[in-house]
Amino acid sequence: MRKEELHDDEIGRLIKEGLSRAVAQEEERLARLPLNVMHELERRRSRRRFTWLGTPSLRPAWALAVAAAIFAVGFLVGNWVSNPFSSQGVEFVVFNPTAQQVTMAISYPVAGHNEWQDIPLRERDGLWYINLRLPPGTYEYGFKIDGRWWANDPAADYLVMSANDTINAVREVQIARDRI
Amino acid sequence: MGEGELELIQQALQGDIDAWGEIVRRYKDAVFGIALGIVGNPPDAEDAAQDAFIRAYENLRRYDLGRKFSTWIFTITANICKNKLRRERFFAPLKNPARLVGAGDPAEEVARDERQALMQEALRTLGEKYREPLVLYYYGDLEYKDIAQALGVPEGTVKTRIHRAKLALKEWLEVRGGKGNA
Repeated sequence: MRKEELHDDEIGRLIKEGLSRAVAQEEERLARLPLNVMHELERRRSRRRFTWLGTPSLRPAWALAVAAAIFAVGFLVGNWVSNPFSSQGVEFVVFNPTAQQVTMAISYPVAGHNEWQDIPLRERDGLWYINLRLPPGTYEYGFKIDGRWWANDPAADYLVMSANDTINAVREVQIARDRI
Repeated sequence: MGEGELELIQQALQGDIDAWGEIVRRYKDAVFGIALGIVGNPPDAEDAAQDAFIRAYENLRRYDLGRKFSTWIFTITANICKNKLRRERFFAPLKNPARLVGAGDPAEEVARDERQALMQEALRTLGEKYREPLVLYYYGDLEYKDIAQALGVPEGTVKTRIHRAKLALKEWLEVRGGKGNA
């Protein structure tokens, strides 16, 4: 790089353009970001519905004893239970060596209804794939192969007919029993 | 503020989580970019961006509707990144450095791509206290006073740090660029 090229303005422009390009390369992360944020907010919202259980009406000494007992039980249980409700990696794969573009549409429950999210798949030797971190739940999905809907996924747990008469694949993500 | 953004924020304030989803979709690239510029690697940037949107939603009542929303969310992002770096005390290099592609004159493209790649490398060599204001200023388009507020330092310190960071970058690029690409 020549010294005369290094003006202040160019430094700013290079930072902006360089970061913009680095961001553009991370489309997979960007696609799942809203999904993960919404899941986490939903999870926290559901958890808060049970906060009324924690309204104590005990005297301080008793409250302390109860807290110590809960802590002890929690500590013991914590040794052999490690958050089975956390997100798990779920692999979605389509083999289609002639496809130019494959995206996946997946629905997830938000505030009592399903919201669909389009996620681009990565390709290697005709294998289109993506690994999503999904919390336990039921997910309808399908693939758009060069714009055409395809959901006859052999890895699906079952298929369902959607309200607009298309077939959707369904994957059920179980609570991680191996971690209970 | 973007089209319908105020309405979306007001709906989110009423508990409409879908409205917040739309805000996330609109700002995900910018927030992820700020995080990537500060923490330096995509996996940590993804975590930081996710935390930023969650924290922003949970603190939405504190958001002053008269201020620019981008400034507020970038401030939250910068603070999360700062805490993350403080906690981890390491700076991992970009695990997936930019594969730079573009259109136009190929020779010019290559030269510009090289400069951008070098700039990213140079950025990673800066300490976080210089990288943070630089990224917020040039990528986030924040003003000095907003950066000062975001980082909890006086405005003069922000200007000094940006100035020093630019000098350091210039020097680094001249030495590296001179050796490698002159």
